[in-house]
Amino acid sequence: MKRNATPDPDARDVARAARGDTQAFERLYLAHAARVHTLARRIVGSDLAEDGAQEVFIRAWENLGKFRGEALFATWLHRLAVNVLLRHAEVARRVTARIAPGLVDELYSPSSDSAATMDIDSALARLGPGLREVVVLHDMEGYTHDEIAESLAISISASKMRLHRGRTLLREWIRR
Amino acid sequence: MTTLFDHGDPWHDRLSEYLDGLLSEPETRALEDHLKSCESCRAALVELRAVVLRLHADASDEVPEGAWARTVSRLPTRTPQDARAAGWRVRRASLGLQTGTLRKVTAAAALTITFMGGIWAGAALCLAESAWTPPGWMHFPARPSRPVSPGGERTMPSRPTDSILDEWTPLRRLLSGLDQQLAGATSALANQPGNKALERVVLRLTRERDNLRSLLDSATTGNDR
Repeated sequence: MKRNATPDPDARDVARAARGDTQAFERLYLAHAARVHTLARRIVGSDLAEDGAQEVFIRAWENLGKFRGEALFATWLHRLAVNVLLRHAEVARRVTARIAPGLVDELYSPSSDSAATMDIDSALARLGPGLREVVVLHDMEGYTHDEIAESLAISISASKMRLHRGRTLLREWIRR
Repeated sequence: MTTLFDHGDPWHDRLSEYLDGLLSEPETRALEDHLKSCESCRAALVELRAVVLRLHADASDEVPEGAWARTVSRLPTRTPQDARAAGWRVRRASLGLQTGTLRKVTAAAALTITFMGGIWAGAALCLAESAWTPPGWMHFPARPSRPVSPGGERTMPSRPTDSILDEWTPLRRLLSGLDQQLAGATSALANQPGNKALERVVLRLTRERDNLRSLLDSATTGNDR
């Protein structure tokens, strides 16, 4: 998809970083790291956020040569970050399920500890597979259901259903 | 027995869509009629709205100290071949050209030159032999001009826009959502003066909205770099 003629403020640094200039890449990092870290904390949780954000920038460094300038660099990076972090979250969930299957049920059970007041991070961390990603992308990152459906390879109605379920669980957990 | 997700009320599952303004006009009217008589859905709607408000108000992170040093230490080394290939691709991208486009342009140019060259060579031979006049179709037609609006500006064909084409669109959408939520929270606070939780929400939303607005203003005018 082509973007309109808005000049990309990152274009020069992207070209330099693609040729191996780490100083140019550092400037790109400084411009976009806060947004990527926030996204990482929301999707993979606080404990894995820094690792997830590092993974995003490593993948960006490796794939800069494939960036064609059809979208702004910030848009390209955000999409890359969502994809990398969704995979990161899935891997973390599989590892947890393998080494401590009971913990997954406990963590993602909507009934346990439902009366306690929780902060948003803890509550998001407890949302079950598939729900957290939809809640984060829709309510915190401003994605539409069409965009979420495309990113997660699910239907639009599934995205709407997961959002409602996620919000309903959060409502139980963070009830005043 | 009803549970969190099975409460025997089909409207309950549509509350999020109602909050997000995704229901059709008739559905919205029907749900609003239902809300008048269903206390459970009304309570759920208020609480869901509070959840969405809190999610919207979630602040952005600071980058952890030393994060760049830890990241750069993990970057794989780029080989000179990688760098050359990447440099070529990026330069070509900056010109807006792709391999397929280049091939098509080259083929079209070759065909045009061959065709026109043949015609004009033939015409030149005819003219050299006789007083033959080339038919009208051999003249280059006048360049078609784009439709011009009454104001003198050229009208461009409209193109569909997509939210992901502009990196700031999600933020603008978030800002618009924040404005709406802030209006809702302010109105709720007016009905419940002294509600500390609502006061905190209004305060935080105002701060987030102002921060986001100034960020967007500076970003879109290019003053942040």
